Amino acid sequence: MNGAAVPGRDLQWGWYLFALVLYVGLALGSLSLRDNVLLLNWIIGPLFPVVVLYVVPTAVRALVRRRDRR
Amino acid sequence: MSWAAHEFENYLLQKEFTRDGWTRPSFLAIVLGTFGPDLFTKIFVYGARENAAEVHRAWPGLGFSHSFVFGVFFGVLILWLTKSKSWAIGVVIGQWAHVLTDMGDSAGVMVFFPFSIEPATIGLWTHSAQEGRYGDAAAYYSGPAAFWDLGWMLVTLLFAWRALTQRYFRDVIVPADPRAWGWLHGRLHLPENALLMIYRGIFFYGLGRMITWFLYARFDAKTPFQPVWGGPEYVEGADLSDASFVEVCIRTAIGGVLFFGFMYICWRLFIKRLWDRGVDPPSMRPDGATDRNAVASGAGVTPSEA
Repeated sequence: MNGAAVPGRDLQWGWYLFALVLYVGLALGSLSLRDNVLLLNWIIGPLFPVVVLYVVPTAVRALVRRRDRR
Repeated sequence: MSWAAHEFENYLLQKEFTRDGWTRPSFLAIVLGTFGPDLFTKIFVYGARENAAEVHRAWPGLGFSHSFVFGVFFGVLILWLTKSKSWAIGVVIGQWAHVLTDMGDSAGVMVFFPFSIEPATIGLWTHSAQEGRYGDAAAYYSGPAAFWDLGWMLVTLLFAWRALTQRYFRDVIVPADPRAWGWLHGRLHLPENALLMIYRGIFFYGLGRMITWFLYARFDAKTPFQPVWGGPEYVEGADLSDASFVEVCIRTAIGGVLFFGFMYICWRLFIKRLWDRGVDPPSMRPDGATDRNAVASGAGVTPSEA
């Protein structure tokens, strides 16, 4: 995931596959809660890869860096 | 309705309609256009239950959202408000593609509304919105529509795989719409690879949605898989017209002639004027002028960043 926050560097397709498996798993899980299509809606769905592959790793990395500085 | 085809076709359309010296449609505008008709209607459709198809596709109802004139209206509105040719043409391309794609289900679409309110359809799969969201999805992925979505995905991967690459994103997608991508880059502090994820996210969403609902239909709803023409047979598809095939053809043809005549008059009266004062993205301007705002706001997903 090292490339996730590096400008201009493309991610390996494997990471998209990881996100896809995660997405389908979570979406199927959420479907069991009746009338819950939150993950499958038009906003969350398309933004899922950027959240999982960029926002979360970047936030985690920033937190770790901050903790290491203390 | 199509559950994933609308997502896949965006890439193919953007690639095929990008022609040097003519037009460079904005990808985001195409997405808005393809999502548009259902954005306006879906929330009301599943609440209407037995009248779901009428609400979605008929008149009286919200069926006008699935007509060519709806796309033109928003395209012209965007051209008037923003002067952006890329956005105007993108919205029209996307919305028209949505209309044509939805001709595949049993309810059909009023392509040439208001000049014809006859739904045009090839009846390949059932429109089953009366079953509710879950039942509709299960029926969709239990009939030929499952192959329809898969087909669109394969066609996109076969003929527009380049459109998913980083190079294409950098060389075509961003230059066609530097302000929007520049805004995302500058305002949200997103580097190029994050923007690329947003761009590919529509494809990702289509694929994820297709797999999820297909698995739901097979293992949760356990509906029978009946990929035959007009299927699945276990559910009754909405049919909004009693007219014969010939009657539908005649009414749609008359509606088409009137629609394109109307479009020609509108073009001569005001659309051409709006189009002429509209602006192309900087990458299309012959003098190679740069868009100061876009560059300043960092649309620069520049090669130097790579």
